[in-house]
This record gives sequence, structure tokens and C-alpha cells, in this order.
Amino acid sequence: MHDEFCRRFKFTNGLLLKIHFKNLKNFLKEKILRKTQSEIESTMGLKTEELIPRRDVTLKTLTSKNVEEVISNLKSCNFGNDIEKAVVLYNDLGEIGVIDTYLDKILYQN
Amino acid sequence: MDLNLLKLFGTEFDLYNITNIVRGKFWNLNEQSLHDLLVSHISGNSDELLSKMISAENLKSSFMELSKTKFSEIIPSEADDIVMMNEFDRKSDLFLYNSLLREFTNMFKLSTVVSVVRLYDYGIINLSSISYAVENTISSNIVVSKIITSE
Repeated sequence: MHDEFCRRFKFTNGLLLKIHFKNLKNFLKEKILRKTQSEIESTMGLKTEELIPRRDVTLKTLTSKNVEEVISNLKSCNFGNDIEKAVVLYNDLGEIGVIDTYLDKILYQN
Repeated sequence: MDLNLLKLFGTEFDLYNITNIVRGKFWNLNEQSLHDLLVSHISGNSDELLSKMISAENLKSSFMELSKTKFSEIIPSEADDIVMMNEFDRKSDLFLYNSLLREFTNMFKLSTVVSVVRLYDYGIINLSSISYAVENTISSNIVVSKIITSE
């Protein structure tokens, strides 16, 4: 019974993590597209981040001035290197789908 | 351990890796960058298939590597790269959707719970497609052909 509960809780946590990554994806893409802070905030809900809890991560990235600052903030969460690769590749290709691909990779690996 | 759940996640991981390889090929990424996009996998068979897809000469050859696998039904018909990518995206969505639906033959398992939640995702994607179409006065025939549902 306890094992079953733990397994299901991990599943819920996985789902919340998925929403968290969706927020990060939107945020990073909007930052690259130079949207304003208020425009970005209007597309995000931070309830998931409260539950995981990863609110500090999202808030730090939300208050970053540019993409470089976002990357350096995310480095403390162990996935900044992958995001850095994604941004380098995005700058090379101009293909915003690269950001989705790399963030999905981090999510699957977690 | 729910073996159906492992099978379901295995399919999703395989599809994820395959999608990344073909997208990478479409973006003309080199082999090292393609390897970087992959999520490590437990199945030896999949690793072999993925390596063959990565070293394939072009996007079409990469798709052809899927012909003798369970993913043969997601191979797009011959066309321009961008048309093939669109067809592949749709077929892989339907492939995963049908895998999730099949879990309803095994009720009261964790894999069924996971499938229910994942199917909600598809419901939301369909609703967004419909809303977008209504907002932009796109004809209902086109919308119906694009939504993800069992055929």
C-alpha cells in the first residue's frame, strides 16, 4: 500500500514537473522574442511551482534581464548547461523548436 | 511492477528520440549534436535503430530505417522534407494516442491511470486547435482532419 502511494505520488510530481517545464519553455521563448515582463507574466501561472516546490527557480528566471542571465540562473538547477546548448544552437539555426527539444530532453531525463 | 507502464513509457521514449533525430536531420545538425538530443535508453534494440537513423544519408533514408520496426506506420510518404515532417508529426501523435487508448483493455492498472491523464493532454490540444480555427474562420473540414482522435 505504501509503495503504491509513493509510486503514485512520484507520478503526480512528474506531471507537475512537466507543467513547470512548459512554463520554463514559454518563458525562455518569450525572453528570446523580447516580450515585456508583464506580457510574460500574463501567460504563466505559478501554482505548480508552489507545489513542487520550484517557485524560486521560476521567479529568478522571470526577473532576469536577458537570456544570458536566465541561463546563469538555471545553472544552479543542474540543467543550465543543456539550456546553454539550446540557446547556442538556436542562435546558429534560428529555429525556436530547438528550445522545446532540449527542455523536453531535460524533463525526460528527470 | 506494472509492465504495461514500462512498455508505454518505452514507446514514448522511443518516439521522443526518433522525433529528435528526424528534426535534427531536418535542421541539418551534425551527428554529435543529434546524439546530444537523445535521452539515454535501456533498450539495446532501440539504440541500434537510433544509431542507424543518425548515420543515414538524409531525412528520407532516416525514415526508411523505421520500416522494419513497430514504428513503420509513422513513416511519411515521399515528399518535400517539410511535408514529410508535418506528416510524421501527425502520424507519431496518432501512434502515441492509439497506444494510450489500448491501455483501456487493462483496467485498474497504473498504466491506465497514466493513459487517462495523457489523453487529457490530447483533449486540451484538440480544444486549442478548434478554438484557433474558430477564431481564424478555418473551415470545419480542415479542423476535423487535424484533430487527434481514433479514426
